[in-house]
Amino acid sequence: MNLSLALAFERSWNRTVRMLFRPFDLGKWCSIGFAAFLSEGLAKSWGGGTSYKSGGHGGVSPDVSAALHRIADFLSHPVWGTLIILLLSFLCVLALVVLWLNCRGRFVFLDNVVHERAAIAEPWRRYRAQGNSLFLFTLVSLVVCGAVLLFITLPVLPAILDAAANGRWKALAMIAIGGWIIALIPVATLIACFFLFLYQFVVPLMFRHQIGVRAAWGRFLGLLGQHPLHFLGFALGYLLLSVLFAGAVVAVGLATCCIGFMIMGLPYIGSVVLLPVEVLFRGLGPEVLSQFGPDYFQFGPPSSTSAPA
Amino acid sequence: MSQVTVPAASPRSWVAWALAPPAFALAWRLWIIHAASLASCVARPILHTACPTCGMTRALVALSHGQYRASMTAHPWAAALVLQLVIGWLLTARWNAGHGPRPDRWIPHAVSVNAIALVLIWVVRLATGTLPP
Repeated sequence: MNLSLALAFERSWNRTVRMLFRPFDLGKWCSIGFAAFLSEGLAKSWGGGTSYKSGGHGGVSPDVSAALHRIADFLSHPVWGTLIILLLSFLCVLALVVLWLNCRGRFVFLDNVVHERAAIAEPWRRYRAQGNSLFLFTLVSLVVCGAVLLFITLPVLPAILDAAANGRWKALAMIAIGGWIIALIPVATLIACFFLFLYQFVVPLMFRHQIGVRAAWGRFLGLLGQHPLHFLGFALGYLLLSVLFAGAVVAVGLATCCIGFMIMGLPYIGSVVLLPVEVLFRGLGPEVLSQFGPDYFQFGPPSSTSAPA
Repeated sequence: MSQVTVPAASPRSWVAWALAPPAFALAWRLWIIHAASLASCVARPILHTACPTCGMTRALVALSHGQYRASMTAHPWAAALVLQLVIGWLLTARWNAGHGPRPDRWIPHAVSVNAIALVLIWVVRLATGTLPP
């Protein structure tokens, strides 16, 4: 098997140009941009927000235990405590709805990219079962990943809190933080690869064969076992492309007095503006899969019936 | 570039066309309010110079007050940007009426031309020392 990441990139690039610029159609951009927003932008605007607030207080160590006591007092208040719990419950429900929309949206956007068309309603209905399967799997995965990260963080938390509260054991806290970072890097890399493979390969396999997420993982793990280096190369190439893209975004943002940052950061509008990048990145995984043969992935016009299993 | 022509547009297209100026006015108003709260350009401390669009807000404000010379001093491309928007809006009306090529086909070209123009103006102003303080 002779796989080429450069070929996958070239084909995805050509598709992006053909789909979005030959000819340019603002209506089509807005429609596909909405699919991209559901698929990529929704998750970014919900969980990828950046805070520029400073946490410093002029070099004075914050009194963590007093702050925790104040928070506990505040939560035990009958009115404020109830309101906070209600607000947190609402945010949890909202997060679940956003995740569900995001999972269904991934199939809508993939359909748009694969078939080079602007359609929302038809793929939304067609991939209902796959979207729900992906939603449940992603939810469980997020809970497991959160638990793993908590498991790594919890042992060092008392040392950090004590050092922050009393100013003692700072050297010990630094060692604890160093150990935490060393443990976190491989775990974070594994989690990033897991979600990269999920969205770039497992979702296209679900899309192609109209199967559930577990069956698609089974197919993908078979491929991964046969060609681990190719998929590792894909992950590194994807990382490199992401860094290049981030550099280009920063350059455009700085060159436009930050107006570019604001436009690209706006929900939906940002997805429309960055649509070529979204389409390019969305096409990479399916292009790699298609090199393994039509049994794994095939580009072409949408079929009126279900794809072959 | 494909020159696509169609029959007269739907009422929805005309409504969108009519709502475009107030939408731009609202966005502009919000931007002015936001810009007033910004301490300075973020690019300046990093690049140690003004960026290609530095002065654009001041130029557009001056233009909205009819101060053409002040606008040209703050940023010479502001007037060209406004002119392009007006022309685009008029061409859309023509397209809606069933005449002429689709105006949105020009958007990628317009973006490229504006980017090149902004960089060229920035280079000239950098070389002549006329970038805004």
